[in-house]
Amino acid sequence: MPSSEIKYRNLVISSAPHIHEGRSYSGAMYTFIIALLPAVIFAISRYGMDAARVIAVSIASAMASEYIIQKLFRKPVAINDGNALLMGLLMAFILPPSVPWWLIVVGCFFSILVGKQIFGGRGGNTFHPVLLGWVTLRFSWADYINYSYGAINYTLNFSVEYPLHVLKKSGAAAVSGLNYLDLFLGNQVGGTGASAVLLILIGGLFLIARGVISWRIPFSYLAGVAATASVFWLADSAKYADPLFHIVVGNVMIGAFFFATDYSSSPANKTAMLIFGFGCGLFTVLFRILSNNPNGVFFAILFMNILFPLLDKIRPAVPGKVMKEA
Amino acid sequence: MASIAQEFTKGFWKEIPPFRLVLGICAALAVTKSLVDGFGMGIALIFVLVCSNIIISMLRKVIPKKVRLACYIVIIATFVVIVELITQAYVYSLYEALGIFIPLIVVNCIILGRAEAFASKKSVLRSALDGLGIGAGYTLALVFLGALREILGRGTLFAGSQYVINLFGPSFKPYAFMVEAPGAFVCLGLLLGIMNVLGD
Amino acid sequence: MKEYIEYIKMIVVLSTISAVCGFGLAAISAFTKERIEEQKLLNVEGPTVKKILAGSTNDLIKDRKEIVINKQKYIVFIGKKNGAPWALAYTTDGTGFGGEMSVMIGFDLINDTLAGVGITSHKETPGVGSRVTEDSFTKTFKDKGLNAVFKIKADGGVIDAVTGATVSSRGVCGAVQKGVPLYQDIKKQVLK
Repeated sequence: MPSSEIKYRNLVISSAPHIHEGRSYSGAMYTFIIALLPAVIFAISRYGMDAARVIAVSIASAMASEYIIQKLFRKPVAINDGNALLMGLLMAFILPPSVPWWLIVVGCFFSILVGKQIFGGRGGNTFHPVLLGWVTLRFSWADYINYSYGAINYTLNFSVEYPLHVLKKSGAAAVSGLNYLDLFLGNQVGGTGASAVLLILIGGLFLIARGVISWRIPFSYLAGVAATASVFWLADSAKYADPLFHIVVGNVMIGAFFFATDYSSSPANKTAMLIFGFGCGLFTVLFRILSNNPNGVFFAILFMNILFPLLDKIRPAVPGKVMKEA
Repeated sequence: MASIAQEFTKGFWKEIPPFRLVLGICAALAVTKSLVDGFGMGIALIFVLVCSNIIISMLRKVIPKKVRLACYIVIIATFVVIVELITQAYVYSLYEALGIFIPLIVVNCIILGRAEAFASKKSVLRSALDGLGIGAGYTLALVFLGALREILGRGTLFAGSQYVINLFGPSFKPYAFMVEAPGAFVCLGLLLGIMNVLGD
Repeated sequence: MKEYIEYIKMIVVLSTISAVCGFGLAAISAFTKERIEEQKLLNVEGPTVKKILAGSTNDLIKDRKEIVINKQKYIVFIGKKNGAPWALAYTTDGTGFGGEMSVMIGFDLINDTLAGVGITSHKETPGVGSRVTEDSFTKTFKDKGLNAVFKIKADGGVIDAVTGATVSSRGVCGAVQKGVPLYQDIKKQVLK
């Protein structure tokens, strides 16, 4: 044959040798970490040594757990792939800066053992490992990982109460005085790194620009939050906070860009991604408004994690298949 | 044919119900919030299992094949109600802790399984030993699971009896997730995994 | 013909087993009935009775009477000091946030006032509505006269509702309102 290329519709099928583009799994992981670095610096400059301690303990315990478990399971040790490092960093980001060290260790160990390795290691987890770990912490030590309690010992130049707690306790009127730009710039109480909303958004856009994540999940997530919050807000604007508030407050940004986009716990097809993101946003607001718990993001993502294998069934037809199954 | 002693000892390792046969999981998950509760459930099950095995083995030549399951269930249910009444009358705190799970022993597949697979074919002595062994193995498993969850989730041992031991002192903040329902699944899952590794 | 014999055998065996089991259970049930009742009272209502009628010198569970008013049966616990009755307590029900709640009301026989109130069973939200079972709320009923308006202050009564648990507080008040009018009748029958 003169040419080794076969053209079929818009697909090009060619035989070896191929040139590798240079992308790798660990490359993607380190891109995630680079995207989070601005928020790390922000957190350390705001909370000082406490933030540095939380981040260091979290990363160290996540990587140590990974090493020990992979040794125990007699698997090749792959702590260099950056996944455990990223898990540790994300865990640190969603905990308040005042958490005791043992709590971080337990959370990371559970995340890596039950969340990741039991499901078969990287790429096998059905749920986001860090969120699973966080849920067990939430069940056991709700007071320690409460953002409002966590901020009580710091002198900050803004309200030391988590805005969503204020909303839950005192209603929409109590939060209407807050300056949204201020919240957006990170002047709010929350997770060690997750509260730097603007920097997280920049990191997320960097990930999209690098092609590490698709824009579909994060943006449909934000759209879901906005749409659902709008419905409530339009129904009774005195009782419910407006959609912009729901977007700039709490963990929506980090959830949309860094948690919902986890490779193995989110769908891979385009339509499914949009539905997945929108569903996360929908349930985030529903959990925030209708449940006793002011935080909605993590439960919403875990809930959609259950559904993603089903969503992934929505996919384009396989080309070349002409016979209808009778 | 297995020796008489083996009929008794197989329940402890080779056929230990929740870990090897993966039977009786519902109760194993629900009542193992503490060691004492698990132990109480195990004792209740041993009683029902031994009694029903003996009676069914005695009647195995009388019971017609077509209505055997109905007969077994009637016999098992009778012993379950006896257990329920007796715990209610004499150990009320245990009755409250075990709650709905005493009546549910009726549908615990271990008992019907032993009746169908063993007692309806073997002699009375062997059936009694089988019931005792399997029941004791189940109790052992529940006690182990209960102790594990109690230590992690509460930091105590023997809570619910007068011999409560506080293992880590008052400053210990327990991993309360382990005494919640999802913690039960995680604990049992990990134990099943460990058992599989050890068994092979 | 053989088939018929098999059918008859099946019926006979199953009926016999059922009958034997039934009789056995009936016997055991009759044997344990009294003790179970006692244990239930002791464990469900016992702690509350002891708290409300604190200071009594008799066995409160043992000294109980069943009294029928308007065809409804009430179990009345009688507190005695040095052999003479000084107080009684019985249970009524109200509706809280999570459903029915049982409220025990104690009465001081000498002064004709409330000796105390306690919640024996409820389905309120833990940590929110369940706070009505705490002493800080139930003690507000103590020593109130029988003519007091047992409603929360928002409804024009004299009882401070638990913050955030208005419906549950209302439920307790409702049960007390239901129980107070029975007091005179029950007192007459008890002291008879």
